[in-house]
Amino acid sequence: MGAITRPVAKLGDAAIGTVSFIGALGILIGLTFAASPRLVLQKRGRRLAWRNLWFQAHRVGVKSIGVVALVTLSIGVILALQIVPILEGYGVPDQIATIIAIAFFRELGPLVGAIVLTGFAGASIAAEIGTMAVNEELKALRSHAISPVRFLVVPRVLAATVMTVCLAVLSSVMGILGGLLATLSITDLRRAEYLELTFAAVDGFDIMTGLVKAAVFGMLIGAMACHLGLAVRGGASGVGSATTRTVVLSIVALTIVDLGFTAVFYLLEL
Amino acid sequence: MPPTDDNIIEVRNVTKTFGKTDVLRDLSLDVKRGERLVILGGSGAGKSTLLNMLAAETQPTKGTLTIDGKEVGAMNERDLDEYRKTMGVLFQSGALFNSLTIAENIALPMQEHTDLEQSTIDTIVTMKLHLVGLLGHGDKMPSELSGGMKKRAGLGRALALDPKIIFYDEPSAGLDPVSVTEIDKLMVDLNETTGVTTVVITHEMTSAFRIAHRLVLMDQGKFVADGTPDEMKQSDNPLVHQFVHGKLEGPMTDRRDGDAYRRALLEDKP
Repeated sequence: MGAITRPVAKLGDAAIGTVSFIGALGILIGLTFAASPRLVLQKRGRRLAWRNLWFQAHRVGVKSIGVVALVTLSIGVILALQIVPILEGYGVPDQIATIIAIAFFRELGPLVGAIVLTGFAGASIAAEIGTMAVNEELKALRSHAISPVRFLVVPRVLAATVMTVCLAVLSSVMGILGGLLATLSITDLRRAEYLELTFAAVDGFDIMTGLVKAAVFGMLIGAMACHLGLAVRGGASGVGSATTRTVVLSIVALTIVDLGFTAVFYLLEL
Repeated sequence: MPPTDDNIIEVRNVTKTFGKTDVLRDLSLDVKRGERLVILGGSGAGKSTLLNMLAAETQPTKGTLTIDGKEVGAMNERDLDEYRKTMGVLFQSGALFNSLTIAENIALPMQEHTDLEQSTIDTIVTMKLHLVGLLGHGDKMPSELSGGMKKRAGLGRALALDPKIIFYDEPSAGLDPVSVTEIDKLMVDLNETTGVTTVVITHEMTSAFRIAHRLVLMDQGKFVADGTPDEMKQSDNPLVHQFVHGKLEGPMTDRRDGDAYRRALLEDKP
């Protein structure tokens, strides 16, 4: 192969790899949707399914609360400390409340919550399912006519979706709290004024877009982690690489999907 | 219970190809209902692929596989699941679900596939635990068990739905000699008391002779010998002789050493 054709072939390989990866992820998400109703409706195995869902929700969400709260509180403080002096130059330091409210409810709350969750829960889901693949547990499930998608993927994706929405609310509130604390300590603004501006800045639609985004992010993190976990081959090194890939690819995917959302909302002037 | 005259498994001219390699080549095999068949072969002979096929994990590339009168290749996913419920597999590692206790592992197939009350399931679990010699260990997690106990627990789970056939994948791998004897005895006892057809894949000769009604030897994706333990011990087939007696010299090692070394020295590098 010549010097010119080789890079072209590599590019082609990468393109095919990316498209087939996205396709496989899409199929897994479709299968998960199709299998989800059985979790609620099934008679057989319901107790275990709900226990499984609750366990995953606890692992994915509850354990992430502290980290998400700390990170978003800090980002709120950082934003206020960086932006307030600029706004003072324009004579409108109180507008920091508006900026932080919109930034967190529409953008940073869902995104930062989801990114923290990726490192926390996405990696651990991929490692767990990957280890199950290495230990022949997935083969064992199939040999008992139990679908790994229904038994493993559905509760994890559902838990990640619901808990990312909850964490988005938490991270928005903590971000605003951070902004409030920083602003109160460096300006003359009073707490009541800050909160009034915050409530005036966001409406139901802003909150709704943030929550829808968070739900999509959560589903993406859960599905990505499960997909890469299920695909693990080759022992412990395979598990390690699936964990790393989950974090990296999830962050890339989250950012691209967020970009898509924001572009669509901008174009539709929403 | 001695084997009957009718075949529960019929493999006809089966070939399995991965990429360009034929892993199984034109195999044919009958297994009688209630028989204890041991499939012998060195590493890479195709034993695991054959087992995966019998357990409906993969399909043949060519040929037919008929189990209990039904052709596996013609089954849809629902029929395959029905078939899977009638067979059990003991995986090399035991493949217990690490997040569940031993009792929960054994209960899982019943919870998923039957309408039995939990109290009835609990009773059956106790019976299975007794059957595999693990009474009193039901509340333990898989990580608390020794290798031999894990295999027995895996066997308990494989027995959960009272299968017609059990496939054992290298049951003696990684066990001490006493545990190996215990597992061998368990396999024979289960077969004799319940009449379950038993297909064992192994390369442990002592074990194989202790268990088998009949043995087949696989080499390079083909069956090269078929007979009772006595027939195999006295066979003058050089392949059988080398394998059964673990000889260093013979067709298996000649083929491997001679060709590869000559090619590496004299012919093009790969």
